[in-house]
Order: sequence, then structure tokens, then C-alpha cells
Amino acid sequence: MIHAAALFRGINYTATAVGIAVAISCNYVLLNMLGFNQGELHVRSLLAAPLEILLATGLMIVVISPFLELASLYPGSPGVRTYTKKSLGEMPSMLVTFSYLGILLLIAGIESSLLLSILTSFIPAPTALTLLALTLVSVIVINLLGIQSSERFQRAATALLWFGSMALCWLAYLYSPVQSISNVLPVPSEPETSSVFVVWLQQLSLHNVALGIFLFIGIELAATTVRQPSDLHRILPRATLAAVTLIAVLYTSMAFVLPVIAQPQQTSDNALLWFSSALASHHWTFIALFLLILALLTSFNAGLRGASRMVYMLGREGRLSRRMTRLGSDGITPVNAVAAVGLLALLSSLATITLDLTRLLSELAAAIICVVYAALLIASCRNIQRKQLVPEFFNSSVPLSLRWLLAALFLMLGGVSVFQLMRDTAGSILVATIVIGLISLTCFSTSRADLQPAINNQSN
Amino acid sequence: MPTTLSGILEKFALDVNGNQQVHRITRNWTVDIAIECIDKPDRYHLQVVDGTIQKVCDKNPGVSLGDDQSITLRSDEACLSAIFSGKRNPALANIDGDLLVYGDERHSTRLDAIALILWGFH
Repeated sequence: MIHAAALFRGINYTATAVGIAVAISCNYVLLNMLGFNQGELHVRSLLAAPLEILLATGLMIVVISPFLELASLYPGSPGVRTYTKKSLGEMPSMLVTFSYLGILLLIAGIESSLLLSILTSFIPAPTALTLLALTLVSVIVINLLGIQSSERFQRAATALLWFGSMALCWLAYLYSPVQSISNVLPVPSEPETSSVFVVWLQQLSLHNVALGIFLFIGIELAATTVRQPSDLHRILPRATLAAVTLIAVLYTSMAFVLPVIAQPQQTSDNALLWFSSALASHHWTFIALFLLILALLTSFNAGLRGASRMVYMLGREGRLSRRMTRLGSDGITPVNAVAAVGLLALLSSLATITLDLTRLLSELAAAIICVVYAALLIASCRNIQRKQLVPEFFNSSVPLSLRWLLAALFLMLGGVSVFQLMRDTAGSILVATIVIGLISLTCFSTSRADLQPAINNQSN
Repeated sequence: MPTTLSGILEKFALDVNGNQQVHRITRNWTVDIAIECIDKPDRYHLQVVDGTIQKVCDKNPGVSLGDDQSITLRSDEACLSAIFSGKRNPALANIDGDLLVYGDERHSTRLDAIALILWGFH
């Protein structure tokens, strides 16, 4: 029997894991997986996208177990940085850490750009921009006020968002007047002789599986918040599995319902708005808008919390400026780290909106998260000997050979996505800029720490 | 300067309780800090009530504060001694994987803040 307090902790882990994944950018990525592009939906085979999501779900269910093992070997640590530090070496570890921080900032930009584009179709642009700025600043202020308030907010908002999105999705399916995919532009089909199954297989793409992995983004964050050693064995694995299931159920439902309710005049790049327009009543649109703002709040909040904690720890380590270690008057809020990450997120939003980089950045974020997961899998393979040092750890049943195989697969998914992205000039420039930026930042932080080694022998 | 972990923890409690700057950030902070050696059977508890370390004991204090108000620190005795005597940066020990921390992030950050105030690690 699970104790009430343990159940509460489990809900917390699940809310943290689902926090970033139930986001506007994931809705957008889902539409891309379905074949929506530039205001038109070219529906691929009806089951191709749900199948890709299920493939991504299967991969996540397998890889989450080595991630939990890593978290149990380094409890209370800031995650990616610690997991990779000893196993991959200093430079690769910093590169993976900055890549992960970069993803969180990219998501902030993508989310803001998408929400702004949605809002401007309902209200004047200056009002929409003000509303967006107010939303982002309010999350930064909540986090500056203290971690506890942000945790409560995260739990409630995530639950509301998941149930709200599911309700809209299935209500649209049940009450949509369309319920036909005949109006949607079809993808050029294979010769009649091919069986339906072969057509599905031909339409499955590795790039879309990478996009499917992106739908689960942030699931690994829950593992960094372990409260009790005993949670590692029962509560955390179950909570994380529940989170994977919740995300999979939500996006598979959406991928199944969207082509059925799609209408040719639908040009919005958000799935929730498609559902609300299928329901043909204004109050559903307001509910969808409310959920979208809530989605921005939860994903931005979860990202800000995770990223600011990492920045604080990097400051403590001497990898970033010591100013990042300043705590608020409550002694627990890393105010400068929160402010710095918040500011960078605002800048990322501004750049994404101004340069119209939403699609490219979402594909880039999907590629990077696959590479980060590959690095974590390699780290989990190379941390086996640490099990002798930690008395209580979660023992993943995924064999070493399978972990290496999965790491190779995730690297391949990341590579395929990068090549897909580099098909046009803008994508190539973006990839080059991000790679050069990450390498420069890694070199800078490494040389900084070499010049200013952490003071370990000071006393009063 | 004490040499045993127990003595180091007693001195740490005195330093914390006697520091006004620490008190500013630990006001209303009530927590049970369990300190466990992984290379020995030794286990200590620091009972913090309203920011003051009231008791350092080598057995369970008996009063349960609940999951949200407890934190467990695990490491070998040498590492724990170095951390609580200010010879080692606790955040770095955690990042390096030498210090295992189970508990609410608020408590671990507050402990880190105390180390920053007492010993000024960056």
C-alpha cells in the first residue's frame, strides 16, 4: 500500500516530468509530424503519425530506466552535468550540459513565437505582444519569489492542461461536423498494388521519430528531484512511467483525431485551436486560448526551474560567473540565475519572433535532445562501476549492449534531423551558428574553470 | 579543531547558531538533517528548529517531521568531515558524485547557502 505522502511525492514527480512536454511547441511539432506545413495539411497515411509516436514512446520507456539509474547513482545532483562529467570527460560533459540548457532556451523562444502568432489572429498585435511579455515576466517573478510557490503552480497547471487538452481533443472527435479526411490534401500515394501496411511503413520516417522523441522533452527532469532514497525503487519509476503514458496517450489521441476533424480552411499552427474550431463555438476557442497560455506558463516555468538550478550549480563549480550563485533573502532562490535564464529566454523569444525561426528551431531542438539522450545512454554504460560506491540505487534491467545500441540509434535520429534541417540555407546557417556557439561556450567555461579553480580549502 | 565527525558536527552547530547572517536565511526553517556514512555504520541527525540547530545526535531524534522536512546526506566519513568543517565545497562534492543528497531542493540549497556564508566558497 502506498502511503499518502509517497503518493503526493509521486504526483510531484509526474507533474515535473510532464511539465515541459505538454507544451505549445509539442502541439506544433505534432502538426508537422502529421504533414501540416505553411498553412496546409497534407495528411500522411492516417496511422503513420500515431505509429511514430508509439515508436518514440517505446524508445522512451526503454531509455527512461537507464536515466533513472543515473539519477539514483547521483541523487540531488543537477542532472546532465553530473551524469556525464566523469563518464564522458570535462569538455564533452560541458558541451552536453550547454546543449541541454540551449534546448530549454530554444523551447522558450518557440513557445513564445507560437503563442504570439496565435494571439495575433484574435487580438491586435501590440496587445498580443504585451500579453505575451506579461505572461513570461510573471513566470520569472513567480520563480524569483521562491521555489515552493512555483512547485504548487506546476502541479495544478499541468493537471489542468492535460485534462483540458484531452477533453478538447475527444469532444472535437465526438461533436465535429466534419469527421472525414476527404477534404484534406493527400500525400502522393504509392501504386495501388502496395498493401496498406507497406504504405504505412514507407511513410514512417526517422526524422519524424526524432520529432516524436521531442514530444517527451523534459521527462528526465523528474529524476533530479528525488526526495527519499526509497522512492528510487518504486515511486519514481512508476511516476516516470505514468508521465510517459500520459504524454503518449495525449499525443497519440491528438494524432488520431486531428486528421479526422481537419478542415481545409484551417490554417492555425496549433492543434488545440483545430479542436476548438471543429467544435464551432466561440467559448471553446476561449478555452483553447486559456489552455495555450497555461501551456506556455507550465513549460516556461519547468524550463526556468531546471535551467536556473543548472546555472546556479555551474556557478558554484566555477564554470560560470560566481554572480550566478547569489541567493535571495529566503536563502533558497538563486535569484541571479533565475534572472539570467529568464532574460536569455526573453531574448530567445524575441529572436525567434523577429527572424521567424519557429519551424527550424523546433526541428533543431528535436535533433539536440536526441544527441543529449545518446550522451546520457553512453554515460549510463560507463557508470556501471559506480554502483559499488552507492549503497541504494535503482538497477536498470536494460542490458549494456542494448544501451549502446540505443545510444547509436539516438545519435542517428539526431543526425538525420540535422541533415533534414540543413536542406535549405537558413537551416544550415542556424545549425552552424548553434554548433559554433556551443563549442565556444564550452571552451570559454572550461578555460575559465582552469584559471579560477574552485576554492576548496578556505576557512574562517 | 575536532577530528571526529561527531565533533565536527558539534562545532558546525555552534558556528551556525552563532552567526547572525546565517540566521537571516534560516528563519522559519525546521528540518531534520540525517547524515549517513557509507563506509561506517555511523549516522547522525541535526535537528533544526526555526533556524537553530537544537540537537546533534547519533540516533533517530524520535520526532518525525514528515517527508517534506527532512533531508539525507550520504558520503564517506572523510568527505562529510571535510564538508562540515569547510574544507570542501559541498556543491562541488555533489556535482562530482561524492555527496549523495536525498530531499527537497529547498533544504539542500539552504545548506549550500550556509556553507557560502560560513566559508565563502564561490
